Amino acid sequence: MSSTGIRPFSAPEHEAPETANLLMSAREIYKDYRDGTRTITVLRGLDFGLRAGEAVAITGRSGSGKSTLLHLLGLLDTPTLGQVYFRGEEIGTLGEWSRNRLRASALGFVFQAYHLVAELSAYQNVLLAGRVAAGISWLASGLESRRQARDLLKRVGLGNRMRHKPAKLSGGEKQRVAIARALMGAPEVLLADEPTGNLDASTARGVEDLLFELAGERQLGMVLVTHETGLAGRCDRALFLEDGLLRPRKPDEAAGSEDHEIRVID
Amino acid sequence: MVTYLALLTVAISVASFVVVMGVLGGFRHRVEKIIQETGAPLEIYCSATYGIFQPDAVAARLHSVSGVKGASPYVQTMALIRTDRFRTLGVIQGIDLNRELKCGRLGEYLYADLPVENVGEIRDVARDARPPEAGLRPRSFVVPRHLVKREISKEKLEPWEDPSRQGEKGRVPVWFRKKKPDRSPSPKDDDDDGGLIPRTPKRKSRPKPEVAPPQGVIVGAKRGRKLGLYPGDEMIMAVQDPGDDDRARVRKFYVIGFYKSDTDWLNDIILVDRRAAQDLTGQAEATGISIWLQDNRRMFEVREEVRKVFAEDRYTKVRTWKESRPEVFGMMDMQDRVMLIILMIFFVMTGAFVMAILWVLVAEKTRDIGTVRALGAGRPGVVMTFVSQGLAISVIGVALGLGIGYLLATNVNEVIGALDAALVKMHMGRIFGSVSRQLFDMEKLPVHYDPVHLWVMTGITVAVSFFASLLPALRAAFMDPVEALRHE
Repeated sequence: MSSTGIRPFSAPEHEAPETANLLMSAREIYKDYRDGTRTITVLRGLDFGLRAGEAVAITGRSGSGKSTLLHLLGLLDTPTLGQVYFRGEEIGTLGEWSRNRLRASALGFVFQAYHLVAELSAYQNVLLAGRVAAGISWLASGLESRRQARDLLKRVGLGNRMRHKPAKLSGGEKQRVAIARALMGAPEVLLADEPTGNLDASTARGVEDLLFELAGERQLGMVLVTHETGLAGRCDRALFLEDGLLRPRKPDEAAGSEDHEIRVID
Repeated sequence: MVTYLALLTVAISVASFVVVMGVLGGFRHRVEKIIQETGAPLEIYCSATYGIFQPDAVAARLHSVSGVKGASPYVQTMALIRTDRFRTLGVIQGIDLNRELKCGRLGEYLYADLPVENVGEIRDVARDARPPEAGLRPRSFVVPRHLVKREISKEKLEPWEDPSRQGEKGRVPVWFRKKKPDRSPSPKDDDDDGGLIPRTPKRKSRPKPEVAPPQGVIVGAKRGRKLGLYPGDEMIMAVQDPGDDDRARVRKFYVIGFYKSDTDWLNDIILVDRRAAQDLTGQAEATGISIWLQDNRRMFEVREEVRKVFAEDRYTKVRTWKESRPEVFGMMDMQDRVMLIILMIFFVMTGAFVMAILWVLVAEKTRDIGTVRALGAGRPGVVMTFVSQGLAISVIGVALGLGIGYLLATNVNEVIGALDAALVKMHMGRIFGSVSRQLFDMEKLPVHYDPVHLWVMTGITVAVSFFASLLPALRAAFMDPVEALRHE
């Protein structure tokens, strides 16, 4: 039995070494949507791999399936066909309870529209993730969660705005709160959907810096869905989603990001 | 905002319900208390005219039944009553006052004069201003000598009109006064006829019949006021003679006291001595036997014991104090049923309200539901969140409602007074002023709660809210998290 409590991976012999070395991976992923009588296939046998401490950018045109892939990796959705692995164990077929536990303990989400609960303060929003992660053991771990929430907010530079509700925060501050919330419970993978999509250039740069700093500190695997070439350029790898498949980002798409070396890994 | 509105609505509903429940409960409690204290918890009652055979012997046998404190036969009948000013009907109950006072608590309700605090429709300032003669409570039906008035026959009265009111329009009251002595010459003055005119011989006066000692009656204070009765007043009672259909048995009684009672129903009964009632009806020795118990909680148990000693028949039954007054308790039971229907409507409304509020809340919070699912919350967690919201609305709403309702109910008379005062100021007249009289014929609205009723109401409200919040909670829990996150 693994440390996450998930049943052991039983992949075919030739795939085992590859998936076992990866923090998270997806194999032969198909995803169909039904629209009345019509079936729309968004992902067509997609393969994906993420190493620990690695940042991968996924770019592509609108409607190409970037968010769908992120939701599949984040266990919010299930593929029509194919497997999703975490630390070499297949997680796509896990039951509802195990998926929830894994999402709460190992995965962190950052959304383009922040998705903060309007009625809660910045501190309470961060704490909410701790409560969800702790589940019924919340009472026992309450003090520790509170300390962690305060530390995280201080770390993202919002130590003096803890009691403010989202309506009183700027876009950049809201996204910082969202990042702090995603890091509650010490996840191993951070899944970010257009994290700077709603921010102006300078604020976006600050949020990017924070994301990379925190991911570096904690050796997080990070999957970033983005349209921003600058952000994609800062990642270890950049992949382009087209026709339901991932392929290395085209070199011409890297223009304007001379500061960063783009390493394309197959 | 929606949640606070829901909370306030539940609180107001509960408060109004608590007030109504308290007042109706108070009315029932008051009536039950009076009936229990002035009457006996058990009785043997015969509805047929022949009554109970050898009632004293039966009463003596009942004393040997375990749990029986005392038993006393009584005679009950309807009678036509005439007073100075009114003719009316009344229920005459002939009792053994000594035994009633010994076994029950009737004595606490008796007064030698009208109690001042029980002011009825007819007010007599001079009389009402008199202090209540609390120390003087009738202890027997013997009429005190000072109360027996000298009789003046009708022939000696003549109509008299008040000269100060002559010429007034409308009806001018006509009073009677003693006739002045006739000035016409008496036969004695005509003695000078020389004895030519034959004289009619003087009638010999009849021998006076043996006069029975005057009998006293105790009347309900409220009825006494309505009939304008005061201690010493005469009451002529008549019942049909059982031996002759064309004749009535008529007896004269004197008012010797009153019993204080809040409702008109209880005031209908006029208490007289059992032997006098028997003499009036000329029939049964007793129509019933009152039975007092050592412990009223054992009422049903003792009733079964009494049934073993006394054989019931078609017309003679052993019944409890509630069964004895089906008209009173039938009405109150009907009132309870109406309350139950209102309560059920209240529960359905609360449930529907909580459900509607949560349904709106789930729609409003769709994206937040997606967010917490992304954070790792499971379906049970989401269900719990919304169910606890529904429960919080109901629990806090009920708690607030109970508090507000209790405050209003315990000060209901003051609140009604203040409302009336405000309405009078606005020239809208008094609306609530006589509500206590109109509804219950009581001076003040009584308030009484059964804690069990409040607990049951709270419990059912919470349970209804729980089930009502389940549906929206399940809707939230089974929402597709991806769709929820995309919700605008």
